Parts: sequence; structure tokens; C-alpha cells
Amino acid sequence: MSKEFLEYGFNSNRRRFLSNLSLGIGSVALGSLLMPDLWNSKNIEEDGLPVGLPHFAPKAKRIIYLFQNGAPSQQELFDYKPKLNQLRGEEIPPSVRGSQRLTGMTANQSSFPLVGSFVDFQQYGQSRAWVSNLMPYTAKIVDELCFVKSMYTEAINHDPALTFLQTGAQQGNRPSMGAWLSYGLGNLNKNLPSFTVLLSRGIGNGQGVYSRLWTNGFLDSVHQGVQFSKGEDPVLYLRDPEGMNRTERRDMLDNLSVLNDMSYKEFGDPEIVAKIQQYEMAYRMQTAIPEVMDVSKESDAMVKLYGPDCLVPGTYAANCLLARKLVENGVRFVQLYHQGWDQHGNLPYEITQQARDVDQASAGLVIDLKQRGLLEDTLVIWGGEFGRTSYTQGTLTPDNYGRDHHPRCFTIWMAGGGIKPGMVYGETDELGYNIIKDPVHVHDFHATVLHQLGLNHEKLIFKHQGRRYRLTDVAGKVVKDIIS
Amino acid sequence: MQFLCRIIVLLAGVAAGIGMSCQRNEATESTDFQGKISYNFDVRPILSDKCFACHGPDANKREAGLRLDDPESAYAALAETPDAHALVPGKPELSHVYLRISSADTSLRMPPVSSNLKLTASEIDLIKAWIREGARYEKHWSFVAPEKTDLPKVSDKQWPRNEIDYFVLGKMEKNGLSPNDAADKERLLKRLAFDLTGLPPTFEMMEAFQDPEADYEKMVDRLLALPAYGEKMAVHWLDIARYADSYGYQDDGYRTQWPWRDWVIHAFNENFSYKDFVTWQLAGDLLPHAGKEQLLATGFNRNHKITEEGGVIPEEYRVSYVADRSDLFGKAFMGITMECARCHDHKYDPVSQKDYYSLFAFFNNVDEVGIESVIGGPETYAKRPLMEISRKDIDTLLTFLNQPDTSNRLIVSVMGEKAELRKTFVLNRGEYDAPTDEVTPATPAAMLPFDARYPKNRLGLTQWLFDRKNPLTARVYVNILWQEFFGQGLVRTTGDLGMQGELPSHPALLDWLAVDFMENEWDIKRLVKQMVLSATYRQSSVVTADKLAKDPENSLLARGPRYRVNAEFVRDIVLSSSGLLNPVIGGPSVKPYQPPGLWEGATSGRGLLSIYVQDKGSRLYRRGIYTLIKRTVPPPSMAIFDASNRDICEVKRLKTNTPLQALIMMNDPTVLEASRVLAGKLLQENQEAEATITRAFRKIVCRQPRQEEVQVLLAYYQKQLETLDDQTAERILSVGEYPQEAHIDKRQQAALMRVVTTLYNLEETITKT
Amino acid sequence: MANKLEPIFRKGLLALVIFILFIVVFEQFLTLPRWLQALGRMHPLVLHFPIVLLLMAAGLQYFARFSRQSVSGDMRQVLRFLWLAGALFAGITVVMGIFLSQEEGYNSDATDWHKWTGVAVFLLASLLYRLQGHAFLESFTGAVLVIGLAILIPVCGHLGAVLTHGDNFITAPLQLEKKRPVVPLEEAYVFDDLVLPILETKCTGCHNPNKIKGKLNLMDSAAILAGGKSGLAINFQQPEDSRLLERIHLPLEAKEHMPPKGKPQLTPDEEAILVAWIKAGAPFSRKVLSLESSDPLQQLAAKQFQAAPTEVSQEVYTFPAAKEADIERLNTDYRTILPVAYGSPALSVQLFSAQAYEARQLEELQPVKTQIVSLDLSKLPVTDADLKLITPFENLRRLNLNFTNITAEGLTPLSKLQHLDQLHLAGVSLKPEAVKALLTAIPSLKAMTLWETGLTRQHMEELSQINPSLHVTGAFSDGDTVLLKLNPPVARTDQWVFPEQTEVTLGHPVSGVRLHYTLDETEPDSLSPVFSTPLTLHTTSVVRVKGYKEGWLPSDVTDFQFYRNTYKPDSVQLLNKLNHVHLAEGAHTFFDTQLGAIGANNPAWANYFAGVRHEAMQLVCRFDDPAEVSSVGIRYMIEEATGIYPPAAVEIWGGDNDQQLKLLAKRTLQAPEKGETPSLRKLDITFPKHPVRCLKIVAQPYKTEHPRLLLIDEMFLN
Repeated sequence: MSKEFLEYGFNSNRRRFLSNLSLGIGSVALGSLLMPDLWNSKNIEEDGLPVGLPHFAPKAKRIIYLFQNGAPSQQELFDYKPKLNQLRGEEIPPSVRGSQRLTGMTANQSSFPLVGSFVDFQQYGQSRAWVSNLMPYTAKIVDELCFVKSMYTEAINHDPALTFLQTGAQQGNRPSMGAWLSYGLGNLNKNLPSFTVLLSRGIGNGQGVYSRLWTNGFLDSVHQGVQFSKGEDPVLYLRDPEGMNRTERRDMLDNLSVLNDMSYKEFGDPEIVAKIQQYEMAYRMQTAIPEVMDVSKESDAMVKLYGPDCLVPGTYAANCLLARKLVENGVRFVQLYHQGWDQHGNLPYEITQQARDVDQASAGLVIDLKQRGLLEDTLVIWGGEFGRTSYTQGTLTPDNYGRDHHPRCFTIWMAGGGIKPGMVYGETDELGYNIIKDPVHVHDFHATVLHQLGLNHEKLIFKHQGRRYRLTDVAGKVVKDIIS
Repeated sequence: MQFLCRIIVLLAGVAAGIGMSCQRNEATESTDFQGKISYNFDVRPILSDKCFACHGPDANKREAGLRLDDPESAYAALAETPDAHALVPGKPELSHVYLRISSADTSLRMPPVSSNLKLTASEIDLIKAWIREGARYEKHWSFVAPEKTDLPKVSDKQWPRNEIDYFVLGKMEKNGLSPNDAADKERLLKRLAFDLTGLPPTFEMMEAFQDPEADYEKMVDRLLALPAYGEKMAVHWLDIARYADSYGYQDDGYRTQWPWRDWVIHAFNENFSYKDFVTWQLAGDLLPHAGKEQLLATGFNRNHKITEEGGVIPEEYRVSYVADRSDLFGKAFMGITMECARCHDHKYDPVSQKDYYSLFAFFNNVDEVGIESVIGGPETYAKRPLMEISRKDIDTLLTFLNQPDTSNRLIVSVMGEKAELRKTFVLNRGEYDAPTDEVTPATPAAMLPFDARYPKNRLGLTQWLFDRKNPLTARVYVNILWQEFFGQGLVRTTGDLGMQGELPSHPALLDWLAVDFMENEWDIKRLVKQMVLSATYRQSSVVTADKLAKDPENSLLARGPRYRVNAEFVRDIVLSSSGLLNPVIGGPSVKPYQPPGLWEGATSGRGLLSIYVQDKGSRLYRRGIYTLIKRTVPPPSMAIFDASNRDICEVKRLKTNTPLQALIMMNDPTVLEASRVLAGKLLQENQEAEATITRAFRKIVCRQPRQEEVQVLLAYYQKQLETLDDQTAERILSVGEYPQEAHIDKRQQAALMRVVTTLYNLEETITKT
Repeated sequence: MANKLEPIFRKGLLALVIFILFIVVFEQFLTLPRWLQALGRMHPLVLHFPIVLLLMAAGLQYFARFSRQSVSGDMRQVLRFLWLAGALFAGITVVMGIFLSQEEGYNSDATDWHKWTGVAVFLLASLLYRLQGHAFLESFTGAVLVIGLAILIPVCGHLGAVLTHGDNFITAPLQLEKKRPVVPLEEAYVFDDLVLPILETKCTGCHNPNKIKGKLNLMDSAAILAGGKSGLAINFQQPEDSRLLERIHLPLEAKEHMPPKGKPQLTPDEEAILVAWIKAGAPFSRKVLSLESSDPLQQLAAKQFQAAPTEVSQEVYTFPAAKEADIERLNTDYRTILPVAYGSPALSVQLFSAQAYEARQLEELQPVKTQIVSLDLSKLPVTDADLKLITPFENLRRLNLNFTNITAEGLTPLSKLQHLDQLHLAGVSLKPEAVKALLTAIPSLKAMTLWETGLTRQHMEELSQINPSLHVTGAFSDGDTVLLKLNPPVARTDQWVFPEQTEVTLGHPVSGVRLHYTLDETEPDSLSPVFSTPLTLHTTSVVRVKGYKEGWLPSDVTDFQFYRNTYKPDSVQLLNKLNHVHLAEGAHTFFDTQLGAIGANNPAWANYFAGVRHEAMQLVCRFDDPAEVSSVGIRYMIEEATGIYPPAAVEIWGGDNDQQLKLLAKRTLQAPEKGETPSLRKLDITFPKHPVRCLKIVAQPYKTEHPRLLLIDEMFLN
């Protein structure tokens, strides 16, 4: 029918029709005024949002992740279970244990005697949070912290569990959290890597760490975590060779870019220009990084805040201090690993040492950030890759015991970055074996962290070998209750 | 509602047409497609990318019972609204596919908002046009056995040198491009030497090739004959085979898998046919009267990570090993992302979860356990099934092995079947403890059904792989090799020729090469020679602004390849041009200079690899391929240049450009020592400064420097001479363990050393030009 | 008059046709300025004209066609006029309607129906106008058109009515803003304040009076009780079996699942509430608090009412965005400028590197001065003068001046920043007055960081009095007063094992620590010599060090052991195999100056000890020139628990070559006590000086119960 109308329109008097065309165009133009996006295809972005910017106003700009490698025992630190002490030595009820698979270490253990914490707990602050006596300094700042006692994961061995927490997948070569953030938000300080890694080890039973934990996976390698190590070369190959000063380096680079520029003139390959720029950034890194690393000017008060070890390169305390200096200088993601939390046996002795390593410096870091007004937009995370069993591994002696891996529940704490301070979220049963309230899966944890940085975990996507990847794979929901 | 919408949209379409008839814009431009629309090349990529996730092969995730990957279902009446059809050939306005993707109503629009996917205006128009043309489906290109087509007609008859060039030129002319001139001899030689040996050409070669009489093909043959050829080719295969010198996982202990690596080099140098090369590696142990060499070759499928972490659940890990092999098989030989089907039916390719585990079954009968031993001494350096290699073997059979005389016995992890067959089940969600239906060894039918004649074991699998009717095998490897020589595959996604993979830039060429490869008994050297002899390969890599704009990715091959060489070869260039290179082939991997503390900082403290004990003497100067790879802490200079960490099979490396790379070239003792030594050697020839610098330039950049280049360097050299004092010179020269040449003027050497380092830092030096 | 005006109106109409078609086709791209929305809201006002006009026109047309007598000229005139006017008004109404529909809440099916019919009416009307006086109009189709229109108009009108008066109109906007009427827990009703809000956000979209999917209406208690097509929604006999619950609990994939897949789903809490409510027998008029506190509803309610914010509240900035180009240009190596979020005009600026800082970097920011909401200058040598440069940043919310070189005086110009809500001044020496002045000048200030500014807690409280809503961060604890123990001193040397002498430098990570040391194995104290210049050691010796510093407790005593090894063999050889797990560097282990350590995860444990278990360790050392050896030192590990024992017996053989060796000395050792703590020991065997070319050291491992492991990392020949 419309056809008839048009034919009629055309035939009746083409002249008038044509004369009216301009008018038509005019009205279309008018219409298009109201549609800014109509003609520019870039806004019809296939995957929605451009990378390099938060999707919405973020609560946090940076993250410091104090990773306690080897899985600290929640029962001796934050998840107070007096019942376990009452039932000491009794078998864990099968109803509680349910179908939980066991590691090869306890798989053929015939008995699973419960064991409570060898150390006492007390309540602190306005939040009345329970903290064990192994963490006196952390106890002082509970009102800055949000304890999540209902974290759970899927893996029961260190390697897959670590990899899962850091990359959102148990195996494979996926980008780690830090790489995703660097990809999603870009870096603040163009003279520093946006994702840095710091390692330290305690005396406890050691679990290795691996570059896979800070890999860029299939993302561009600029998003790879850059390891800052102790020694004169904080970043690999950063230091100019013997006998070369900055002016000489500058001189060399100038000549270099003159030559590179010649071959650009010949080949016209943009890669050459990129190369020249990378050399310039390298040059700037060479000054920026030592500037950040310099602890010589830290006051005694500062040293006492973190503990004197913060001046001993390579210690956890030193890494905490360094972490603060790095975020101050615009590093997006500082990943610490402290090894030695794997207390299968000899737990009382080892965990005491481990706690001593990290307690003061962790608390000191939170305080320091707070004092500088950095805490509000810096998210600090403290925790391991899974929890530990409520029953002992091996035989239970009066003064000694151990705990095996336990994926069903573990405790982490977060501070700053728009997370509710002075809060305890989630709950485990009285034997500290199962979660009974507000479980938080690793994917949920990732979703929440990204959310605090202004990223929608469902929209932070990278397409690789034909598939769209996310840090949270296909799951994960933001834990809104802990967001202030 | 629908009816009404339809009228309006029609009305609107026409009227808007009138309205805009004088004013063209993107929205309408995108609608004009030259020629007929191809399902495979135009439509399927869109459907696959944006629709198949919910309307594709995966039965569990399928919405509304509709499959758009299969005409049957797509033409049929819709399950939920029987009076309507997803596709009505010729009638977009009746096809709900079109109506839904074009609907303005967000509650109707496909893909749903919640999916975060969106079709662009042009994509919508394209699908509409396709439907109007009859919505014809085609089988996926890579699942149809390749055939040779006749060479395309080209107007420029002079340019082509072999068949490759016809296809390439044909495409260029279609797109209004013309090839670059041939690269100048120096650059061509450098490119050739890099590609065939991973090393810069020797000074003598450069001289010889300058001779106008010098024949390119002769040079090709000469380079192909060098043992370095095997080392060069091995690198990409080690990535595929995820070869490493440690087990990965927790303690990441040492393993002696290097004899397998040496075999690969040997095999390439002996020019094994691809068929034998692969057959031996996949099923050498099953070959009739298999010998030790065939057995050694099967180490290929034991290179994967193996846990030594006490307390793991053995079955969980054993399953992951088998999965690793299956995934590798899919990625490296079939060019299909099999792993997607491990937990659910493949969302894009016709590979069901059952198919996955049927393939899995081939590798599931290895006589292995999830964890054999925790980290320990030499007896743990290989895991059962393993082979022991005696001195005698090396002297008689495995002569290519370069075993230093040490007391320890040499063992290698290899393949071996269990006596009684291990049953294979589909694993629900891919979890080792959730077996469902039992399956028997088979291959995905969509590509090529498993012939009943073949034995249902790995040997049969290789026969299937090299069946002339197999559409993938040849294409995949030809493509991988093309990537080796041209920087990117004819199919960009080397590991995925499936539905989600990119489409070939030159389909006809790919097929021609694939068929030709098969017709010539899978002869690898022949294929390589074909590529490097082509005019396409010989083009200069100069890119004009115009070409850059028209074809930034160089997918039309209207210029020569130009890109940074792989990590291993960066090292090789430095060592070889400075004369430090120790050309020994094979043997246990070596530990060259490495910044202190890397291993120590990340180790669990257990095992041989918990401390980095740097090697001494000539072992410091081995080729990059021999640098020991500890999976959890890969050699930094390699990792920073995008080398694979050998965690899983990799068919394509990133090629990035970062400040850390700049730092390595400026400060790595390897580079500095090489500069020092080269500077020393050159000064001993005591020539004029200018001549010396020119010589350094030629050794390193492999061409005669231009005058202005010499001037810059000379000035730099002079300035250093003036400014450097003796003890600074001493300190500058103090780098590296290679003995310092006596009686040379330290200041001269230090100054020249800096010039040389600058040369090593030139973009062109480590770039294939 | 019609004749004169008609051409103009006609053109207008054509324009409208095209314009409308155009915007309906590309509606999804439509984005409206506010003023146009206002226009849109006049839709309900205007729409009455076309209805009347067109109905009249249609009627007339109908009359004209069927009243056999030919239609008069005036009649035609009137018709033309009516059609034209009607069509025009219809057009205007449509446009307004579409504008209006852009406002949130108008995405229901009803809206679409209304839109499409409306557009149809308009097009039909314009068509009929164009057809005036054409034979076609007389045809049957023509008639159909006219009648069609006549029917279409009321239909369209009704649809519109549904929109305006239907509940969507009221609730839709509410739903989108997730605003629930804030009721204090005390006054909250279970149904009205807990359940209904959920139904309204998640259910009534489809289950309302005018869109009764499944014949179920969930708008009010009566309707809910009435139930729907498949029966009662709530089963008061067995609440658990209520259909409502059943549908909610079905798996998401299930066709019957509610809310349907793709629509917003119930959150766990919401679900819990509905369940609890129904299980409680679906009370409609009960106060939350009337339930006993154990009741799950009670707890859920509590949670609801301390409601967590559901989305990040983004501050809306009204100022225009800056030019891309400017931002591009101003982003330099040491100055980062980023939008606070995708699509936000607001910018946050951070400067880096004290070395690179110059005031110019702030001056240059003028082009984006309106957009900057956050500026971070911490740790840069910013001066008072520089602060004047940032006063133009009128929209600045957050300013970080931590550890800059500004002074109290410098603060004054900041008072111009009237939007400022956060000011960080840690590490800047300030005067309370200055801060107070600033605080009074900027009432908007919400947070200040004043740690290490010289302000006391007292001062800070005073500040809070000036502005009660201000949050001040001072020192967390009184840092320097706490007493901590110094950590252990360190020693540096390039030779822990040395041939003749070695130089030792003592140090401490904390600066200004006095290091008291002894060389005679006595415990050092504050009277022992203080380390100043490097110590030179000639013999195997232990340096014991203790650190002191005012304000600290002294460190523990730390021992540093140095070993002299005068004669390094020119070649070494082991006669027996080592234990395969403890190969270390083979025979070279003992003279590689690498000292082992205890601790299973210390690499020095795994790598520096060579060990034997079953057979004796027989080491042969050869010297090119005779060595005047008079003592052999052997460093070994004891870890009783893991069965690492000292050597049971050690024999030293010496001579000119292997053939003629004579026993120089022999020593046997005690087995360790049960549970003895792990330790590293050194066994010294001395004997009369004796020149040897060949020295053979034989160490027997213990065999008590079963063979014990013997681990040795280093030997010393003097």
C-alpha cells in the first residue's frame, strides 16, 4: 500500500516532489541533530566500553594485595572457635565434614581429631572483632578493617589455588588480577610500571611463587607484573653499567634515536618510532624507580610504625613500606607475596614466627596510608589462597599439631578503597569448617575488587583466539554489603 | 504488533531512503557489498561471534531450541512460535533473525542487552542482504578438504617467481596494490639468514653474496644445509611441544628432557617429512619394530607440566596431563580450540564434549600416575614411563645426543601404553571425579570421521591425521610455517582455524600450499624453500604512507616482512656477531648470566633449581635455545622478549615492544660483554677508527653503513675517547667473564665498546628487515 | 485563507512525514536536550486536537463518499483543511510523544504499541490528505483507509491512556531509581515496606491490572489473594507449596521460572523475604517489629533497612567536558590527566617526580581549569606561590598537598576553591589559625589530613567545632614514643672463608645505630669497642655484635663466623659416591666457600651440603706444592629429629701421594641427644705440622639403629 502512495507521489508531479526534497533533507538533518551517535561508528563499539578508563566513578584508584602465601590458618588468627578447644581431640562429625575431598596428605589418615587454637583471642575496637594474640598490631586497627570470614575456593592444592585467586582460573595462562587492572585502567605514572610484584619469605614451610601469578597472559606484555627485587637492581637491568653516568646514557640515547630515526626515514615503519619512545621511557624509569625506592629519608617514627625490618631489603616489612611509596607514586597494583604459611605440622611455632613477620608491618601500612589520606582510595587486601582444617593433620600431641588445606572457608581482611571499615562479614559454623552465612566465592571477590576500581567485571573483556575472557570467567557477583 | 512494525519499518526504510537519497553516509555505505555474499567469509563470522554462544552447537546453553549454525534448525519453524521462522530464504522481512537483530525494542533485540554484545549497523545490513540472497549456508572452509585451484590471472607477468606469487599478486591487484621492489641484497641476505638459521650471515657470506653473480637460490641451499637450520626450526616446535627443563608446579624440580629437544633439532636437520616427524612423536612407541629413537621422539607428549607437590590427588593431575595432550593435539595439529569442549559442548565448533573425551581417550592409556615422586635427586629427573639412555646408545644409535660425561644415568620421560586398557569417560564439567558416559577413542566427525581400518590408538590417530582427506593437518602446519617466515599466518589465528578463528587472507593460496605439501610427501625443507624463493618473500619491507594506510597489517603482502626477531635469536645475534657464540649443538641446558636472586626469591627451597648456579666458560655463550627454562621463573631476558613460558602449547608468540626490552639491550651483561669482546677484536685489527666502526656496523647490522650513520657513530666514538679517563675505562671493561684481550688501549676499547653497544641497541639490529 | 496558507502547511507536512519516519527508524540513537523533553511532556496536551480533527475529517469523508450527491467545492475545501490540520497536529503529537517516550520508564510493550499506532495514524492521515480529490480515494481501498483510520485513532488513544493511568507510569521511574520510601524500622509493615517493594521492582512489570500475564495481578493484597490462571498464588494451607514460591524456585533455565530469564532476577535477600513472608502465612497488615526477633523476616528486614547502597553514587558534574585535544596535549611524561570515569567531564590530575616538577606544569592546566576535580601534588616541591596557580580550578573537590613545601601562609588563596571537600596537608608545617581560617572560608570541606603538621589533637578537636561535619585525620599513634628492639646488625665482607685475611664491615639497617663488638667470644655490651673502621681478621674467628640507639632497646647479640682456609687443594676427588639427594657440587663442595644453612626451605640447605649415608666420605685433596697442614676443620650439620648426625669418626691421612699415606689423626664424636635442637658445628682436628702433597679425609657416618645421614658443607685446611 505504501508503494501505491509513493508511485502516486512520484507520478503525480515529480517536479514538486523534487523541489520538496531539499526540505526533506533539512528535516532529516534536524533529526540527526538529535542523534549525535548516529553517524560515528566508534560509539557502536562491539564490546561496549573502551579500555583504559573506569566504567563508572571508582572508589579506589590503587590496590595493595598482601598475599599470605601458603594459606594462613584462620583458626589461629581471626576466626575464633572456642568450641574447637572444648572438643579438642574428638573426631570431626561426618555430618560436618560432608563430602569434602581431602588432600593426599590426609586422605589416608584414619582419624580426624579436632583441635582448637593454641593461642587466645580477644575482642577489639568498636567493631568488637575477634583477633588472636598473635596479631597485636592488627588488633589495634580492627576498626579500619573489614574481615571476610566466608571466603571459599575450589582448589585444595597450593598451585591451582594460588593461580585461581590470582588469575581467576586454576590452570592455563590467564592474565592475573594486576594485569587486568593495568589493562582496564592504564597506568597513572608513565614512568613506572602499573603492576609491580614484591616477594618475601618467612621461616615457615615454604611454597614457591611463580611468574605465572603475575603474568599478562594473552594481554600485551606491558601489563605484566614487574618484579621489584632487593639488591642494587630493583628492576631487572635497570642500573646503567659500571662507569656510565646519566649524562653519558643520555648522550648514548640521543645518538641512538638519531640513528633509529634514519631507518624510520628509510622504512617508514611506525614500530621504529614506538621503539624510540620505549627507550625514552626506559630512561625515565631509570630515574623514577630509584627515587621511589629510596628509604634513607624515612623518619624514625616511620621506621617504628612498620618495624625496623622495613629497612632490611627483601623483608615483608620493607615491602610494605615500599608498597606505600609505590602507590604514592601512582602504581596501580602492588602485589606482595609472603611465603611460609603452610603449617601442615609444627603449627604453633611456625605460625607465631609468620605472624611476627607480617603483623606490625601490615598494620603499619594501613595506618600510614590513613595518615596520608591515601587509604580512602587505596584498597588493601590481606589473605591467603585457602583456609586450614579444623582437625589436625598427623597425630595430635599436647603441644603440637598441624592443619591441612581447607578450601571451604577462609578469612581475609580488606581496608580502605570504599570497603566498609570496622565490619565482619560472613560466618562459619562453630567448628569453623563450613560457611553458614554470606559465602564469598573467589569470583565474587574478584568482581567486588574490580567494582571498587570502577570496573564492571562483566564488561572488562579481552577477546583472544576467538573467545571472550574475563577475570571472573562466567560467574561472580559484587558483594554489595561490604561496600560503603 | 509484528505486522504493524513491519509496515512501519518498510515505510520508514523507503521514506528514509528518499530522505537521504542525496546524502550518503556510513549507515548506507556499509550496505553496498561488492559481489555475492559468502556465508563463510561474510556472515558466519558475525553469527559465530555474536549468536552461536546461545544458538550454536552447545546443546546445554542453547536458547529457544534454535541453532543458527545448522540450516535444518534455522529454516525450520521456531519451536516457541511455530508460525514463524528464524530464516526465510529471500525474505528478510519474514525472517525473525533479521527482525530480532534490527528491532528497536530492547526487550526483543538480539543479542540481548544482558549479553553485552551488539551488532553494528553494517553487520545487520549484511545479514539482511544475505537472507535476501537466499540465506545459503556453506560448510566451514577449514572442514572441507583443500583442493588446488588454477593460478589466478595476473596482469604483471614479470613479477611472479613461483606459484605463491600468483595468488599473492592476484589479491594485490584486486585491491589496487602493487608489490614492493625486491629488497637489496644485504637486507635480503640478513632476512634469509635470520629465517633459516636464526643467526646473522657471516662476514664471509656477506662478501660472497655481494658478488653480482652470486645466486640467491644457492645461498638458500647453503643455509638450509647448515646445522643451525635445525636449531632455528626447533624453536617454534619447542613452543608447540611446551618443552622445558623443569616440571612446573610447586617445587618446580629439574627434569632431563633435553635429549628429546636434541632429537627435534636432529629431525629438522635430517629433514624428516612432517608425517614421520609427527608420527614418531605421537606414536613412536607403537610403531612396528620401534627403536630407541622413535621412543625418544615420544617424549613430545611428556613435556607437559608434572606435579611434585606432596599431597595432591593423583587422579586429578593425571587427568590434567591427558587433557593437556588433547588440547595440544587440537591446537597444534587440528587448529581447533579443543579445550573449550572439555567442560561443555563447544560453543562455536562442531565438537561435542563427547568428541573431546573420545579424542582424550587416545592419550588416556599412558602408563603414568598423577604424582610419581616429590622433588628429589636424579632418579626423579624423569617420570615413568621413561627410557634410560646408555653411553652405548649414544655412541651407536642416538649419535645426535650431546651427553657430557657425568656419572649420572640419563633418563627421559616418554610414552608407553598400559597393559590393560584404561576406560575413558566423559567428565562432567571436566572434573576428574565426575565421570558420566564411557567413550572409546574417536575423532570429531565434522572434520573427518575415524576410519574403521585404523587401530584405535595413538598410531591410528596419526594415520587419521595424515589421511589425505584430512582437511586440517596440512593447512595448519603450512600456516604455522608461513607465520614463521612472514610474521603472521595466512590465517592470523594460527591456533584456531575453526569457526571463531580469523579467515584466511589468501584462502586459495593456503589450500594450494597445503595440497602441494601433501603431494610432496610433507617435505618441510621443500616448503620452506618454496616460501623463501617466492618474490613475495623477497620484497623490500619499506612501507609507504599510502600502503600503511591501505593495509596496515600487511595482510595483502604488498611488502616484505619486518618485525623483531624472537627472544632466542636476539641473544644469538649478539653472541654470533661478537664472535662469542659457542656453536655446539644440543646437550643439557645451560645457565648463562642472570640477575641474582630470581630463583632464590621464588623457590620453595627444595631441589636442584632452588639456587641459580651460573655456568662458566664456553657454556656462557650457547645459543638462546639452550638456555635452561625453569617454568616458574623463566629466564628473564627471554620472557621480556615474549618467549613462551612453556606452560602450555603455544603456536603464536606476542610481539611486543616494552621499556624493559630497552633496558636489557642497554644493561644486560651479555650484550655489554659482547660489545667489549667485539671492540677488543676489532681494535686488534688496528685500522682507522672509521674503518673499524664500519666493520662493526657490518658485523652487527649486516649491511654497509650510510655515510651519515658512520659520521654519527664516529663523532660519538671521538667524544667518548676525549671524555673517558683510564680508571673509568677499566670499570667499563670490567663486565663479563670472557678474558680481556691484552695490550689494547683501554680507553679506545671502552669508547669503541660503547659504540658497539649502541649498534646492538639499534632497532634494525634485532629486526628482520 | 486556506488557499494561501495551504502550500506552506503542505510543505510542513511533508517535512514532518520524513522527519518522523526518520526518527522512528533511528530512534535508538535519539538523545534529547532537556528543553525538548519539556516539549515532549506537552504530548498529553496536544493529542486531543488531532483526535477531534481527524475523526471529524474521517466522518465527513465517509459522509461525502456515501451521500450519493457530488461533493461541493467548499466541502472539499473543508475536507482538505481538516485532513491537513489533523495530519499536522497528529504529526506534532507523534513527535512530542516520541520525545516523551525517551524519558525513562517508557519501554513497556504498551509504549511501543502506542507509538506504532500513533505513527500509523499520522502517516495514514497524511496519506489521506495527499489523496484528496484523487479517484483512488473513491476506490474500495480508499474507503478501507478512511475506516481504518477511524478505528486506529481510538485504539491508539486507548493505548495512550493505559500508559498515563496504568501503573507503569507511576512505578516505572521509581523502579529505575530504586528509591524506596524511607520508613524507620519501627513503623515498617511486613507487606507494604518489605514485600510490596520487591513485587513492584521485580514482578508488577508484567503482573499489573493492564498487563495481567498469566491472569495474575500482584499490585495489591486483594489481587494477590485472587491468584491467577493457574490458581491461587499463595496456598495458606501449605504455604511451602505456594505457586508463587514454586515459580521463584524453579531453575533459571526453566520456562516457568519467575522472574523470566533476561528480566531482572530476585536477589537472594529479596527471595528470602518473599519465602519467609509466605511461610509466615503471608501477613498483609503486620508490623515488622511485631514479629519476634528470632523470626527470619525480622532479621532480613533489619538488613533491608540498614540498606547498603546498591550502586556507586556518581556525582553529576554539570560543567562541559574539556577538548579531547587539550587533554591529549596536556598529558605529559610527568603529568597524568584522566577523566574520573568513562563519559564523565570531570578530570583528575596527578603530577609526578620531584626532580621534574616546575610551576609551569600547573600554569599549563588553564585550558582544563573548569574540569579538574582532583589534583594530587603530594611530595612535590610546591611553593606558596604555586598555589595561586590552582585557585582558578573552580570545581576542585580533592586536593592533595602532602609533604609539599607550602606553609601556613600559602593556604589563604585556597579559600577561593568553594567546592573543595578534601584537603590533604600531611607533612606540611601549619599554624592552627591558618587552618581554622581556611575551614571557615570553605564550608564545603568534609575531610582534612593534618598528620605531621604541628597541629595537636587539641587543635583538631577545635577544628571539628568550627565544622562538625568535618573529618580530620591526625596521627594514628604517637609514633616516636614507643620503644622497640633494634633488629640485628649486619656484616659485609667479600670473603667469609679466606686464605690469609679478610676485611669485615659492620652495619645496621637503622641509621645512627652504635655497634659494639667483641672478637674474644665474650658478650658485647655498651662498653665494648664501637665499630668505626673495617676490621681485618687473620684467623678463624667470631665477631659478636650488639646495636644501641637512643629511643630504642638494644638489639640482640649477633655472631658472625669467619673461617680461615690457608691451603685450597689444587684438585679434589671423592672415592665413594655421595648420597644421590645430597650431591651439591660434588668434591668441590668442601672448598667452594659456600656456607650452608639450616632450614628445610632455605636454598643454602638444599644446595651447599654434600652428604653420605651408607659408606664413608673419602675425600682426597692434592697439592702441587707441599702444604704445611697442621689442622683440618670440618663443618657439619646436626638435625637429630630428621636423622642428620655428626660423623661417627674422622681420620686424616697425609703423605706425598695416594700410595704412601699415613694416619695423621683420628677423632670420634658423640651421637646427638634425643630432641637436641638443630645446629651447625665445626670439628677441628689438629696434629703436628706435616708437609703433604696428598691429604685424605675419611668421615664415617653414624650407623646407630640404621645408617644416619652425614652432611658437610665446608672444610678448612690450616
